[in-house]
Amino acid sequence: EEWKFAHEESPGDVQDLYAQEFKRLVEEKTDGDVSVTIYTYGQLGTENDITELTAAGAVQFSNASPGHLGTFVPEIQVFGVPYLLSQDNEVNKKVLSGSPTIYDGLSKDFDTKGLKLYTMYPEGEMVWTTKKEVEKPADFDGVKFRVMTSPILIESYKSFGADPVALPWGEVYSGLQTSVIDAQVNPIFFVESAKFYEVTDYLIYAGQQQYTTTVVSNADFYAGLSDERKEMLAEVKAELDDFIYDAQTKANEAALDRIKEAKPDIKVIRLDDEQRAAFKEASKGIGASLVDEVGGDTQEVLDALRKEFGTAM
Amino acid sequence: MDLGTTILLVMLVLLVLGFPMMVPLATASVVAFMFYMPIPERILIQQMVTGISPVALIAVPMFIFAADIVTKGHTANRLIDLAMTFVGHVRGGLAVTTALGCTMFGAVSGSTQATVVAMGGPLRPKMLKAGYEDKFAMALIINASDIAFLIPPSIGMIVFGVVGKVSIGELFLAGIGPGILILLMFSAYCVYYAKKNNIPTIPRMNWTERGKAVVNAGPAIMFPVLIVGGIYLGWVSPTEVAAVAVIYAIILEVLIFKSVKWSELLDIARSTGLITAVVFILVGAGTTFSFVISFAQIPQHVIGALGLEGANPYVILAAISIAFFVGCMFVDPIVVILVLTPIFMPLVNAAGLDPVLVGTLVTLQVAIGSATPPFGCDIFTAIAIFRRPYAEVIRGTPPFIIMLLLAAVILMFVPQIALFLPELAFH
Amino acid sequence: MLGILKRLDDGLSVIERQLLGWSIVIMAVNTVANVIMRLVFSSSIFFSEELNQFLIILVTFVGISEAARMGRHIRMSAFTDMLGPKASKVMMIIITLGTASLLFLLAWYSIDYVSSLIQSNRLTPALRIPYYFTVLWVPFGLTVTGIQFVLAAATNIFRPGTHLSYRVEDTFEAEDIHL
Ligand code: NA
Ligand code: NA
Repeated sequence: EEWKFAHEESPGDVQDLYAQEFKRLVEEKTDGDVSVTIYTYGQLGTENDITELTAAGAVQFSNASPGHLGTFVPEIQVFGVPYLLSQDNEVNKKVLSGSPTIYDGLSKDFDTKGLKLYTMYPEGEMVWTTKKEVEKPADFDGVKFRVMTSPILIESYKSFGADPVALPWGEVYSGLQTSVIDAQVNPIFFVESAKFYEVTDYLIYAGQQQYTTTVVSNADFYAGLSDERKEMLAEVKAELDDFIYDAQTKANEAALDRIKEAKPDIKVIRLDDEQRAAFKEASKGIGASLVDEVGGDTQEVLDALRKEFGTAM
Repeated sequence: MDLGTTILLVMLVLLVLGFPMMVPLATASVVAFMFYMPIPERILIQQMVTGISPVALIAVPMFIFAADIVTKGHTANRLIDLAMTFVGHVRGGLAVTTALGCTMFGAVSGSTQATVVAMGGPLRPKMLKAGYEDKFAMALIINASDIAFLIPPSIGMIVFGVVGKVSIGELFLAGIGPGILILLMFSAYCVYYAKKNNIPTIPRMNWTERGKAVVNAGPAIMFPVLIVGGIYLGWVSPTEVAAVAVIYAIILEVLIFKSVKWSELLDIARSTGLITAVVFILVGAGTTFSFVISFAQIPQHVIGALGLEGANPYVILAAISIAFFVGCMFVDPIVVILVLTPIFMPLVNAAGLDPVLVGTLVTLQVAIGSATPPFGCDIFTAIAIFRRPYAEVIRGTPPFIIMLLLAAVILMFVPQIALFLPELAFH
Repeated sequence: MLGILKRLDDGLSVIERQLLGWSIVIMAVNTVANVIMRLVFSSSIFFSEELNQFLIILVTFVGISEAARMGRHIRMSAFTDMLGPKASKVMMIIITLGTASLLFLLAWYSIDYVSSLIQSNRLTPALRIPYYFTVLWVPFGLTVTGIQFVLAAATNIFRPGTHLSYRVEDTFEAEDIHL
């Protein structure tokens, strides 16, 4: 039996680490009855495509990140709301791997799309790479900030004080180099592999967001599994919950070290609680505007998650 | 029969039988979906739509539109006049003019075929009249238009950049060095040919005449300045520079030269739309085909079978060059890039090769292959335009193809020819 | 019967050509407007990419029909060019009918794709309109193009000579490529 697992990143990136370990554990626990084939970024099309492929049963598992998943399951966009997650990753781990709001509530929205929500995990803090020092919202004045084409991201960065610009992924490096844009945001391992640090001067940790990804499975495929297999998958998930937090922390730390080595004069700024509070305050309306836009039970989901993460306003 | 063999056979048979090129690609995919892959067939359509959706691909219709507007005007002739006043007096000057004209026109046009049309039309009769053999003239035009594919803009580079996730801006800048290298090689051969065959020269132009030609062609020369400068200075992305080129072409031909009327613009846009569709349906069908190949993990098998995993970088470069060259001898370049790039990119990344260098090399190979018998697309364009039989069109091509392959080898060993400009601009 | 069909198709051709022309023009204006917005006003048109994507899908699938009508699809004719007039006519009938069948099959798949998109209610990221609006051009274009190839087959069967489409005969002139 072959299970196909498609993710959105390149070999060696965090999603690939997860998929590789998933493959190892599943093949080990089924004594090789199941073999897992991994497809990396671009092999089966775009992020949206692999989610559709999973819903259609062409692949059994795939990664989907909220930015893209939001076009299928709009409520998932709450994970784009700034400062929703805790500043303490132990809390994040507990909530993302076992939250009733996610696995009992949100997962129903997945079911209606033919998807079974398997797990969620963060890939690391979203770090701003900029050409000028940014410590308070006013510093963002006139900064052209590249974000993905998503209304909530555009509004968030507007509220932070920046000028959000939508630019295709492939143009970000040269865009930074030539000042078409002044800043972009991504997890540090991504900043390193895409070499964005070469063309910016500051790495700013503002704690506004973790890059949170979702692993989904085809709903019919999952429902058709024997109890034994379901049990096995739950075990694998539990083991991977621990594994991926360590793995992503290590991957991001190593990436930051390599950046510092390659560019010793890069300035790493970790905003303190007070500074973060200013950005949090500036963006406090984002949750409400998302609720307005998406509707449904977004308000309930957002409130419940804030409670679980301990970030209620 | 296994999936790989089946789809390859289906493709080749339908291709040789003369079906429109989207048919072999789409049929091979349909066969794969029906008999080999447990996936709903609608995914085939999803991949087709995905293939044509990347934002950067918008540059293709925009560059075609700009080139169409300019071709309707008098740009081609002005560029030819310019080249002629400077090099016409040397032995082989008209042939050198042809090579130089193709290079300059390449800065307006993103495709080799457009260049064959725009430059071949006016220049071939002139060369014949001056005493060049027809086989030499046709071969020169077909192969010099390859330079247009390397000089930005280039449709091949846009597609490679999109599929291989490589910066199109860097690829554009990287094409300029090799383009000029080939121009020099061709020019040297033209001079040698003219000496050997005793082709008469025309009198040297004086600087007044040259000045006049520069002024006449000036706005056309602004195209490369606009495109390269726009990217280099970072005002615009390569996608956007294409749209800016359209506006510039309109200002030039409609407002300044008045060689195109406002009312004709919509007509030109229609023709651009038509050509775009013909190219993009191949992009869509090619993406579907490439999905089938990826899904069935054929690249892994092929690379494993060829023993390329972890091979010497030069071996990998050589394998890539041969694959793209041979592919383009049979199928449209866009399709070859779409299908082969995903197969080789993991290998390129694993070997730590510079993807910009690989992209430049691929673009060069694609251009050479498409001018190479048996079925290179440029040959058929030339047959259609020059109305000469196949055998005659291809007879003079071997020396040029040898020079182009030599250029590819030089590029492999001296990558700085391609990389110095992007490095200067971006690093 | 054939006369009415031809008149209908002429009308369709006019509409398709207008759609093609305006789409290309809007694409250029949209892209340049976005550049100007960014360089001058430091902001971008948030739906610019999405509009371009919509237009390119439209251009591709409306354009293939017009391209079929004008006999402009790229094909490798080296082998068929060597055939005699009779064989080349038979071959052209096979090619046009085969191509039409494939296009109808693809059109059928694309209807399935559109209905799956309607069901999943997927939205576009920027404008948040249903994504299937964008894809509606696919079944339209594939069907109309299929019909073009049926007409081409009929023309080859009922008229003398070899025809790339019901309007264009297969000669050197017809292959004049404007790429
Ligand atoms: Na060019
Ligand atoms: Na060529």
